[in-house]
Amino acid sequence: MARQHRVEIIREIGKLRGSAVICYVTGDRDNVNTRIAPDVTQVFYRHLEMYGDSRQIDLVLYTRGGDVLTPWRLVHLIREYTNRFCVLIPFRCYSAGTLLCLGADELVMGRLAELGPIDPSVVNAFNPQDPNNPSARIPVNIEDVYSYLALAGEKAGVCSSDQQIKAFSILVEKIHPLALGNVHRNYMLIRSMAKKMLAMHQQPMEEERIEHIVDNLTEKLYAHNHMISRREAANEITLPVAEEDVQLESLLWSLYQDYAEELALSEPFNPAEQLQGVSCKFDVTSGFVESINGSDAFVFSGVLKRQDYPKAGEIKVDILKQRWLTMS
Amino acid sequence: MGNQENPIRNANIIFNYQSDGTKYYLLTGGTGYPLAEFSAHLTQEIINNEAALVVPEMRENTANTTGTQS
Repeated sequence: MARQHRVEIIREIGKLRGSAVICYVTGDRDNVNTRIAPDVTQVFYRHLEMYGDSRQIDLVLYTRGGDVLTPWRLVHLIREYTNRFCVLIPFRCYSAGTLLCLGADELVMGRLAELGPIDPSVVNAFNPQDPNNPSARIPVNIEDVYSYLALAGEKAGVCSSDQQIKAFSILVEKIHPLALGNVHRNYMLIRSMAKKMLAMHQQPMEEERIEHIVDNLTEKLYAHNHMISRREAANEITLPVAEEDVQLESLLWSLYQDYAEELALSEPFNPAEQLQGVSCKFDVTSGFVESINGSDAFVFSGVLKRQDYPKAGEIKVDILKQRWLTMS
Repeated sequence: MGNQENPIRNANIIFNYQSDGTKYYLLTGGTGYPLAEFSAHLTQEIINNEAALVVPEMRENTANTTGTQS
């Protein structure tokens, strides 16, 4: 019934806006999260092919973020099918989700809609180890690195080249040079990509406005968990946010609530509740790409097993597969 | 990521959690981003993809639909 209910809402949104509507939800259910990533591109292609070329494509988006390069690929793909691309945001649309929004001609933000800064954290095998868990690598936020260098230069009075070298050397002692190289590359990448996305609009944006938007979303919000409201997005950051539309927002919120319920976003995935007997298989759906023409779900599949070692009553969770599945 | 041996391929990972709400997730190249403990016993499919990394993350909530504070 949930899919049928969502199809009705999606159809109504499409009729209201004269658009082809695609929904992309990367669920953030505790313990079985999903994120924007390259493996969704082919899924989008399927839905876009089913619609064909369209006057306008609306993307209903809920995400906490993900891979920095995927938004670029998705926007290019969507624009193969339309000259007018819009993003509809009922609630969270952080980080890589906000980056994706930069490629849209118009943003429809509900009252609870939230964008976020696009300052990425980068991680690879050269990142510092987590002292609490040596198997883990600590992501390094690129703005943190540049803020340190700015702090050393502006506040600590580091001005001679010897002092600057020393400040940089202190940094290199803490973070591997190859990790820092990765930071710098992504520092340049995110700015370049954001500008290119904003330059793709149907109505070209002035250079000054593009610079203003990119500066705000990369470094001038000062906290990666700064949540950007509709008003701030429109009035201060000057993103192309649409005028309030109560009917549309009501549809968007109903649609989000349906996804949130189906994906159980507010309930952590608890193996103890899922286990039947000593051992059983499980499937958990954690993300969707949907349109009126079809549905694709991201599913984790695995095995739960009760074991009494090393602790009594422990439940072992083995995820054996995680992939996009075509449901209809 | 290079060709170096994934250091966590054969490890049984035991996690020490701080009390600040940080959890550890398994970052691969794909959409899936599950709790790292769920995949501590790595399957061949994950190993054959790009190197998987365990990363800490603290989740911020602005509006918690369960009604509890975080």
